[in-house]
Amino acid sequence: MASVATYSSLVLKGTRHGLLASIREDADWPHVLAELARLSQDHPGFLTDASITFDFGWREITEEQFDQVITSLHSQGLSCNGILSTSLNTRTIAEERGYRAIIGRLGLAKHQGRRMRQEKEEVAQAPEVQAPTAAPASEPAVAVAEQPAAPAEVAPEAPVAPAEESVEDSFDAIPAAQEESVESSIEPSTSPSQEGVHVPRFDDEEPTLYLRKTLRSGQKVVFAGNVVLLGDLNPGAAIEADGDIIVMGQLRGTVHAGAEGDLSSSIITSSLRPTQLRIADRFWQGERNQSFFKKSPLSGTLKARLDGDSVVVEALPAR
Amino acid sequence: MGKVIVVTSGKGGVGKTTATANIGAGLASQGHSVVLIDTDIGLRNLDLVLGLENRIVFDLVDVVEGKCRSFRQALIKDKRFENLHILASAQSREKDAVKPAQMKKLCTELKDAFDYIILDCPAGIEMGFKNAIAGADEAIVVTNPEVSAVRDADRIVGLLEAAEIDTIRLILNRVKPGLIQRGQMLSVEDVQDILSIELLGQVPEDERIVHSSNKGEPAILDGKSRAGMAYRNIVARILDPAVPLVSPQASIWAKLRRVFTADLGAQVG
Repeated sequence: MASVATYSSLVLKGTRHGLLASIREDADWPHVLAELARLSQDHPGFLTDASITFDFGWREITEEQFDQVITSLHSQGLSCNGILSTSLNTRTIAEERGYRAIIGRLGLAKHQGRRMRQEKEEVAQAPEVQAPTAAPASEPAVAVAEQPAAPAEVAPEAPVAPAEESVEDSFDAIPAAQEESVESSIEPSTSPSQEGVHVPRFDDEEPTLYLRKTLRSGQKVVFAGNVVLLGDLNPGAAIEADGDIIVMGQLRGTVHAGAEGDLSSSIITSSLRPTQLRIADRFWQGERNQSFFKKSPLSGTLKARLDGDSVVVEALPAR
Repeated sequence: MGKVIVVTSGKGGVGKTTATANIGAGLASQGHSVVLIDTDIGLRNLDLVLGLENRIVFDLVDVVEGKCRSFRQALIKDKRFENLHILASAQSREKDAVKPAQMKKLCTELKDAFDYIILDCPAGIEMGFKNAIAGADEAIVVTNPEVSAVRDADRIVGLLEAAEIDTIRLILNRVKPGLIQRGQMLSVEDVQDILSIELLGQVPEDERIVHSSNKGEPAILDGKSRAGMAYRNIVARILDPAVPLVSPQASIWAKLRRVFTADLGAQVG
C-alpha cells in the first residue's frame, strides 16, 4: 500500500470541482504552513499544477497569512482556486487579491479530529486498565487519511504533540453539543464492541454537511456527501450533494441528490415544492401548474427516491 | 452617533428612491438631522424626487475625490425641512468612480454629524450595491408583491447577511389590497413566508405618488395621500419599533364582497 501522506492540520479531499484543502481551525499557524509547504513533495506527480480550494472555516486569516499561503503554493507550482470561509474579513482579503471567496465551512478537518478521538476512546476501552496518558500520546498527532490503525507508520517529521494536555484541549475546544446533534443524525451504523457498548464508526460514512440557516436566492451549496439543512431552501437557491439531502424547512429551491450518479440517494423533507428536483440524472416534474398561491397537496415527512427510471415521492409513515 | 441605513431592493423600479425621499423627509420633520445620499452614480434621481436638482454644485464623487473642502460643501439643504440634506450622485461618471472603502469612510464621518444617514442604493448587485452597503449599519429592503421582485429581494437579503448587516427590515411597496383579497396578488404573508425578515411597513399603490414625485414634493407631505400615510407609519416605526404596523385597507366594497363570498362558501360547505 502506498504511503498515505499524513497531516494533522489539514485534510485533502478530491471533489468534482477540484482539490479541497480543509484547514483545521484550531491548528497553530506555523504548523499549517509547515504542512502546506510539503504538499507537492508528498504527492509527487499527483499535485503538479493543481489548483486547490481552501476551507478556512472559522479561522480568521490575516493578509500576511493569506499571502504566506499563496507564496507557499506558488513556490510548489500550485495555485489557489478560491476559499471557503465564514469570516467576512478573510473573504474580503481573498477577494481583494482576486480569489473567489465563498461563505461557508465544511469542517472536514474537524470531523477527522473527532474520528481520531473516537478511535482513541476505542483503544482506551479495549484494554481494561491502562495508564491513560501512555498510549494515546502519539496517535492524535497524526491525522491518518484512510487508515485508522496505523499509528506505527507515523511520518518522521509529523509534529509530535507537545504534551497530552494540549491535544486534549484542542479537541475539547470543539463545541461538543453541536457536534452531537450533527452526528446523531448521520450515524446509522453502530457496531457493538466487546462489552456490548455501541461504538459509532464513521469510517465508511460519507461526510455530512450540517447547515442551520435559510438558503436564499443565488446561494448554492455543493457538497461531496450528504447535506442536512435546518432552515428554508428558497426559490433560486440550490443544494447539490453527492449523497442524500434532508431539508427541515420549506423546500422551494433546486435540489440535486446523488449528483455524482448515486442512484440510491434520496431527498427527505417536510414540505416539497421544489423549483426542480433531481436524483442522479433523473428529474421529478412535480405538479404541473405550480402556482405560487397553491399549497402543496403533499404533507408530512416526504421522501423522494428513484424507483426504476422515475423519481417517486412517498410519505414516510409517522411512528 | 448617527445610524447609517441603506435602502435597497435588487430589482429596479420598486420604489427605492421614493422610499428614501419619504423616509428622509419624515425623519427630518420629526426633528432629526438627516442626510440622504444618492449612490446611483450615473443615474441620479433622488434630487429630482425632492425637487433639488437645480441646486447641485458638488456631488458624491467630488466628495470622495476631495474636490471640495469637506462633505459639508456638497450637502444640499432642503428648504422645507431645515434638518434634511442630500448628497447627490454624479451624473457623468460610472459606478467604479467610488470604492467601498471610500464610502465606509464617508459614512463614518457623517455619523458624527447627523442622526440618520440614508443611502439610496442602485438596482443590481454589482459595484454600486457594494458601495452602498459598505458603510451601512442597517438595511431596508423595498419590494413589490410580485414574484420577480421578491426573488431579487431574497437574493439581496442573502448578500446583506453575508456582509454581516444584521438588521434587515422590509417595506412592501405598491400593495393593492383589493387584488390580494381576490387572490391575484401575493399577500404580505406570502412575501414574509419567503423572505422571513421583519416587516417595517406596507405602502399601498397610490396614483398621487406619481404626481408628488413629478412635482418634487415627497408624498409624506401630502395629507390626502394613502402612500404618504403609510410612510408616516414607517417613519414612526423606525423611531420607535413599538409603534404598531398599519396595513392598507381594501375598499368597503371589496370587504363586503369578501363577507358575502365567505358566507356562501360556508353554506355550500
